[in-house]
Amino acid sequence: MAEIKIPLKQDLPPSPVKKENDLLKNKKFKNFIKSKTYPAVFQIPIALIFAFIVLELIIGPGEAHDNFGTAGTWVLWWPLLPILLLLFGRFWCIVCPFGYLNDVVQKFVGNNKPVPKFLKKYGIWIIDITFLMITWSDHVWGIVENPRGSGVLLFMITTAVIFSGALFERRTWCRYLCFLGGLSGNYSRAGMVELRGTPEICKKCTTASCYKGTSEVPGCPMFEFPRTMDDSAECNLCGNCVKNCPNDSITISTRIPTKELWNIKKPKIEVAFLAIVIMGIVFVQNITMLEIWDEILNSLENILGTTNYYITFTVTFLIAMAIPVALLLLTGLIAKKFNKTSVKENFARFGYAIIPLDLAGHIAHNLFHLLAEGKSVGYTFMELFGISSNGASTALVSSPTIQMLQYIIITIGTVGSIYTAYRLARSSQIKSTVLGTTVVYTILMILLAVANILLFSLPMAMRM
Amino acid sequence: MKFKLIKSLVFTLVFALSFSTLAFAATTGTPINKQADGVNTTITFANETIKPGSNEFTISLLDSSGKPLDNPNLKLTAAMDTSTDMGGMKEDKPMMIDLKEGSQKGVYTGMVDFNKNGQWIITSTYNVLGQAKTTDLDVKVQSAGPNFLIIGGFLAVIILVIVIAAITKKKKSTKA
Repeated sequence: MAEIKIPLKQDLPPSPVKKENDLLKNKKFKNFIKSKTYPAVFQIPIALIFAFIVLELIIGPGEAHDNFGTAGTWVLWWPLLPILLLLFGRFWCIVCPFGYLNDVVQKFVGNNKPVPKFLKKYGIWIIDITFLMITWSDHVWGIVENPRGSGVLLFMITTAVIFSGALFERRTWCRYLCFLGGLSGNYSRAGMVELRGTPEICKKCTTASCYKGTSEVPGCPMFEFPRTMDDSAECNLCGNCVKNCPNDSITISTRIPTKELWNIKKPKIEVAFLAIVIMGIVFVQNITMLEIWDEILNSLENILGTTNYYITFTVTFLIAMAIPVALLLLTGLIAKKFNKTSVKENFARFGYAIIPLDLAGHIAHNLFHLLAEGKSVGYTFMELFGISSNGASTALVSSPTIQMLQYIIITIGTVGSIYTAYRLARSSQIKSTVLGTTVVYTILMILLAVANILLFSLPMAMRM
Repeated sequence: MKFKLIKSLVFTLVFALSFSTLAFAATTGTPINKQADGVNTTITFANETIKPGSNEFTISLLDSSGKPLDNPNLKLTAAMDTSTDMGGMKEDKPMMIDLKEGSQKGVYTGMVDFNKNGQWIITSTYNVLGQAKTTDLDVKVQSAGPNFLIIGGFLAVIILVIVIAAITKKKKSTKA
């Protein structure tokens, strides 16, 4: 880090104003977070597993069905990621092998240049566009179904991370460029863990070592200042601020999921846009895995007069992305009648209310892969030692059970989204407009939920 | 002097590494030929080994004297060869392949997406003097091995980035 200072001693008297449910009140937990072993104890084993998975993807079996790398990435890690984000916020980002690689490269050859202004300004838009492009290319070139394709994707990210780590300061990649970071940031807002500074202590602080770092520990890798941080979108729970704060101001506490979304002071249109396109992406992922996808494709080929998949899928993709965006805009227009707020502001603010349903849709979709194909992780691992599964079923539970779980998750997500819309209306409007605005957004959430449930009720094809 | 020498060595190594992978690259295409009813059908894949995924190819239809057919209205489909299956397997619907006219008369280009390895049949349907004819071409799709060109390319870029970063860092610390 560029701004490392000498270690600091406590410069303020101890304060009794810390949060009730602060997990750092537990001495063992606090000592663990403050120790040198955290987060390395998670980072090193995960980096080793990641290296093995990359190796398997690029030189292992060419068929997804037989490749441990494919199973480990797309059947285990990818479905678990949204669940981890809900439970632990962006904790994954501190143990992520790419982030760790960034830190290692930076330590040895990092030039620590400041983040370019355009990245600060357009970072989330770059993330939004990259996320859409990767989803599109996955379908067109079959990245998930092709181990080599998955390997190339990981290589591309590795190269970009090394470039970013070698050139820029802190975790520029994670904060401004990682397409998963954008998704993780959005989901972490609905997550159950938050790290914050204690305002009563922070306002008297003059050292800001949480941000600047000390000679022992670098400052916040995500460019966050706990003193002013009011959301969990960028906090990866690395523990550096806990280690650096001389006044014991930092708290890590549990909270009601979605609580952070109830009072968004400065809604950003790009965050709302990412939230709504993720809904579109979940639709695309579902539609293309349905057994009726071939029939849909045939009809589309007849309408467009071409069998070229690049064209037919691109049209499907654009429609699937445009419908939720158009619906959110339309809802904003109707809500304007009640709350007299501009469509743009409604879009930005109430886009955040989509996040719980996004998260539910993402978990529900991937639950199918995790539970219907979960055993493939074990089978492909056994095949590394020459033990064949002899075509045994990969399912952990039956399809009706998975479907029931998917419906329950979507229902919970819908309730979360409706309640978030209500709280957002309450926190930003006068009493008389809250009901009308909430009803309008409730209808939108129910529409999106019904679309999700309809898609989950149809038979789905497997990845492996 | 020492620094310059190390720099030159590293750059040589990077270039050697990147170009060494070319040895693994495909050098020639794979032609598959069949003669039926006096028509010589040749399909040539761009890559030496045909692998699952998208494969570019050219196809030519020549009569017995080596001249391209007039208005053959060529259509191509690809399907997995299920003739050797023990039964009970669901037969996939043949895929239609889009064709474009090539630079020479009687030569067409296209892209076929083999979704798995194994034996495939490409069926060409064309007209000869107003009569529809069909030729089946057997294609063996092999399991995709590692692409050392791509791996080497990425490694070369990574090494280059690290080396440049190390040099700039060193320069910066020397200045300071």
